[in-house]
Amino acid sequence: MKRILVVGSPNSGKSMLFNRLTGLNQKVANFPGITVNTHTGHSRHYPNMELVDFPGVYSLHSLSAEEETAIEVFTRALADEHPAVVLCVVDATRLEKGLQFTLQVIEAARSAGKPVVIAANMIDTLRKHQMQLDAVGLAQAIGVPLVPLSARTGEGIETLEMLLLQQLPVTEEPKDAPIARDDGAYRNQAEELAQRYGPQGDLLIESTGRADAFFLHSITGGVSFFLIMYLLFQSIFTWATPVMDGVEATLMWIAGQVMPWVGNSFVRDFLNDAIFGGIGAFLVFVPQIFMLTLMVGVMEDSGYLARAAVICHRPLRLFGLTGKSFVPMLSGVACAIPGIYAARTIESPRRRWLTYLAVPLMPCSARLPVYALLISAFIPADKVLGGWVGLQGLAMFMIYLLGIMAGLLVTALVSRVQGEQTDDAPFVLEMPPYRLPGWVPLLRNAWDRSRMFVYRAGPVIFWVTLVVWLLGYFPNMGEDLSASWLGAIGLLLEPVFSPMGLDWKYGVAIIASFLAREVFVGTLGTLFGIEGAEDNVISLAERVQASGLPVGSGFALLIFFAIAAQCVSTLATLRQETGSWKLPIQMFISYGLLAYVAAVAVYQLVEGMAAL
Amino acid sequence: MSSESTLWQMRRGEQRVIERFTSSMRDVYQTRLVELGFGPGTVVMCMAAPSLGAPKLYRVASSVFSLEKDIAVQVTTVEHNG
Repeated sequence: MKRILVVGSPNSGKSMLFNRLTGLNQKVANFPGITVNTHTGHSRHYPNMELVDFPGVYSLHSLSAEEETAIEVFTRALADEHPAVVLCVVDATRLEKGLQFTLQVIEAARSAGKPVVIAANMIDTLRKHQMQLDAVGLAQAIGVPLVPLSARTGEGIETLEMLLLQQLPVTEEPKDAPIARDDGAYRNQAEELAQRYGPQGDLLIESTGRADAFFLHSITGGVSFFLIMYLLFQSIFTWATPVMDGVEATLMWIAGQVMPWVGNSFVRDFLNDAIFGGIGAFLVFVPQIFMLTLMVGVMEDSGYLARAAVICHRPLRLFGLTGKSFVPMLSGVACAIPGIYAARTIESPRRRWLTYLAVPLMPCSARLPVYALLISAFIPADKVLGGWVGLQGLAMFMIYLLGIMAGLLVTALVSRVQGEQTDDAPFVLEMPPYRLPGWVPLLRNAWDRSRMFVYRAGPVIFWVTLVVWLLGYFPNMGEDLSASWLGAIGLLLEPVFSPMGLDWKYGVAIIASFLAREVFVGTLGTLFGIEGAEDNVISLAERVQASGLPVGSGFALLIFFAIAAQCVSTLATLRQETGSWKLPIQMFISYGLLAYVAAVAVYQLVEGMAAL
Repeated sequence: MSSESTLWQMRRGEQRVIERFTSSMRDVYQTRLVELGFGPGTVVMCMAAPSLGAPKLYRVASSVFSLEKDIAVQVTTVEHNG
């Protein structure tokens, strides 16, 4: 087995090349620092070739915790006696930066007795801008084989694979070049090499500069930022709705086909209440998760995300955070777990810790089914402002904004209490070039995320639904839900939730959702299914409306789900990243209490106003 | 003699040469800035200077980086002749 260690600077296209070689779907984005863990895969054409993708680093000297880990893992892999080749990926459009790191890698690999191959990526972009790279001259000058290629189009991949299959010699010390031993010497040598063999001309930088003049302008930059964010949230409702309707119609059709064939009333009730009512209610929301992931991916891939981090830096500093917190927070909008991992790119331990506090409050996709259900039940699907603004989309935007504001207020409060620290790492962020998003990888990523979401949440929802249904169905075979075992438990819990105007059924669904938020929808679907006792599956939102839930309780539920830390996986990830249960436990208790108090206050306020 | 100013004082489109880092800047940040291309003697161009104190964008060679005020004020530059 031949091992290929894939390294490179952040945003050099390393993960895209890894995906191209392995056929895997490792997440890629046009933003520095997206790869935070090593990933391993086998070459799709040569199964005896194993590739290891390391996180991108600027140098073999660490600055952040993420870099330290990446360098440590790479150094260990170099020292391993297993035969390996180092594949160093450089962005050919920004050669001198990649070469500086490459020279360090060549030196380290030479000491470890490992050969090196350079992949000069993004050769298609160079050609598009009528620029050239003297690959032969550069390879001779540094004494390392170099393959110009494009991970995006596949150009040069076959040549690279053939080269990697060969028995390569360990790189010799160059005879006609100075031996680089310190940072200054590496930099000088990289600059000389880039000037001599690299692309000449400013077309790429000039086009990026023009776009930056617009997206970072005081007025157009601010307006475009809010427009892009607003479009993101509108798209979740507007563009996903036809697919959601399709999923719902398909489920109803399957139910209609299956139910007449089931004679046993117990199985029939179980299928109707738990499977179609419970799990089906959750599946309806998966298209929205797909759309959310796709839109966040478009922002990343286009290069806009780094500009958004620049725009947000000053405002986020007011809350004790940094512009780099924007990426973990936006990732947290899809799911808190990658958001917490993404916080590794924040060099300052204090700001990283504050970002950990904010990420679980971001409106993650697990909250989406709950929000969508409550908004569908309480907000009319009307359009205003000439049909451009949908009220439900607007409501979704507002509740997302609430989650974000809650995260910011918590970090502001905690950072004020702690006081400023002078040794915080400064904000330095590389600006990737703008580019048109690659739709195929983005669609594949959105599909994978949605599938993973179903696979991860599916078993939990199934078992919780099963337990809830059994407890609700027995001992009276679904005749009277309030007289069931679940009813008895729920009535015990009712005093806790009655200050929010919720009856015991909602209380049971909330308790079940502490495993994972999306369980709330499935549980509620099962409970209403048992109570409804009818064979036809109607939408859960209609059942919530029919249950007579007060508007104040709807708002209280929205607030509760926006704040409470109801996700076991997120808490476990936080424990892994911080090395202790202290923060997850503190977060679970404090966010839970805050959520409860805020929800009760909102219910009392809304209902009090309605009574006036 | 060239007039000195900090990186942060640069306006959009202006080019200057990096002279030195202030002695108060931590070694680890000096090393990183050098690795990113902000070494003494390098020509740097301000690509964008957003208002309200947002980080400015600087080009070194073929790369663009955004640097916030806290670190940009610690980099001294001189006029670029040429």
